[in-house]
Amino acid sequence: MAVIRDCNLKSDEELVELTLSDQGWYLCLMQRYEAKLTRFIRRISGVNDQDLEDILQDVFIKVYRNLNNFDLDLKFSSWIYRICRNHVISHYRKVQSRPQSIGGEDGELILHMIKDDNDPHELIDETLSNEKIQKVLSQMDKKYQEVIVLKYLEDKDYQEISDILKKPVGTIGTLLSRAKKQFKQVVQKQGTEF
Amino acid sequence: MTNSSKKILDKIEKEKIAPKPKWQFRLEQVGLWSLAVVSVIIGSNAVAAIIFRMVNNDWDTLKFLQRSPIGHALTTLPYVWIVVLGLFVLLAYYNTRHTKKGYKYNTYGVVIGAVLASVIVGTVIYSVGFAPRVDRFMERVPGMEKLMHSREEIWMHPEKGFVAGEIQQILSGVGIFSIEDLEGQYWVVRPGEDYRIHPAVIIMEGEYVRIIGMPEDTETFVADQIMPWQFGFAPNGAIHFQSKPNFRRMK
Repeated sequence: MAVIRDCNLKSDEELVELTLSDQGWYLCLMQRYEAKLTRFIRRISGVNDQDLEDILQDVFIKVYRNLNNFDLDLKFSSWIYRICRNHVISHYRKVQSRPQSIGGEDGELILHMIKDDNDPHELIDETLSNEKIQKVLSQMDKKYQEVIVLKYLEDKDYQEISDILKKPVGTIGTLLSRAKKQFKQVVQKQGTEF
Repeated sequence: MTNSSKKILDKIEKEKIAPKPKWQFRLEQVGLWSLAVVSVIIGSNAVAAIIFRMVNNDWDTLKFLQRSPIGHALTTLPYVWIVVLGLFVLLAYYNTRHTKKGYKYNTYGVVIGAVLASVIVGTVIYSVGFAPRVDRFMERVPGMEKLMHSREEIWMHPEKGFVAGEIQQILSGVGIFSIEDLEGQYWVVRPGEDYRIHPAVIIMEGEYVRIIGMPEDTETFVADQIMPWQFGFAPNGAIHFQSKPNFRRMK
């Protein structure tokens, strides 16, 4: 007889506890994070669908293997994003290539968010197209690119980004500020080419 | 259930993949913290040896040696121990940083904390008299002896008025005794006209002393200043533990 598991009323942390005693509950966690992680992997790597599926599968298996290492002081989402990000990095180390740029609609979202954060006098030209934004992001350092993705696309706060990247909260503030600065510098530098 | 999730769950079941036991993660954390603590302990020993070498660095004889304090300090700084301290502070930082919550700690905080802990524990190690043994241990590590400053060399020049050694026998007469110097030569030491003896010096057999004066002949040394070979931790220079000069190095 099939066991019916109601995932909706359970928190991530409760699901972790339940999974440790009955692996069937792990399906709830996978369903909850499959779309989010798929999007995240695409944003930080730009892999094709086949690679993405392989990476996602590896990530979920790695998470399952390490469930006993989950620290309840963290948000589960921060922990699973951390494992995912580290796996993407090691995947690229293995194939010795650099993650590609961020996708089209995301570029527009980033531009909008960065503009909201800034001094009105320093606004970036609103006419920048998605294509140009992608070009800008692809020229940014990887460490700045991922902090922008986490902050503006994954909507993570400083504490969560700190837990995902395993860097102190103060460093995240600095990284983000430098990322925005570099974004603007690249826009200005490439201005004539756009 | 999505196709992807089902595939993963099937793989978990088929390959009998199970979460790693908790104890493995705990063991890893205990290992990292233990290595951090061991690093601080080794750093503390380095601090103890640095204090020991700096205290017993012949500062009291600079005017006789005709050396400037800065020049003397630069020549005699215990560089090997300073490097050891630096390495183990970095190792303590590295291990702490790789613990579960290590990334939350401020880098400078961890480094300064490791240095402070090393200084505090190192001072304790020095004060209980363990530092000379630590220093001697390092001298015995192959290749290290050549890298470490030899204090003894200064005191191997009786012809220039500098001699040091172990008191062998108290002879008749006030302040007359014999010593075996660092090169194994015996001297009868007798006080000169401006004879001064440091309060921390104990004239008794087996004690090690430094003497500034001048040889009268090949067997007699006229002493103007007699100082202890080593100073202790106490402000008055009382000796808690006296180690032998490195005779092995000299002979």
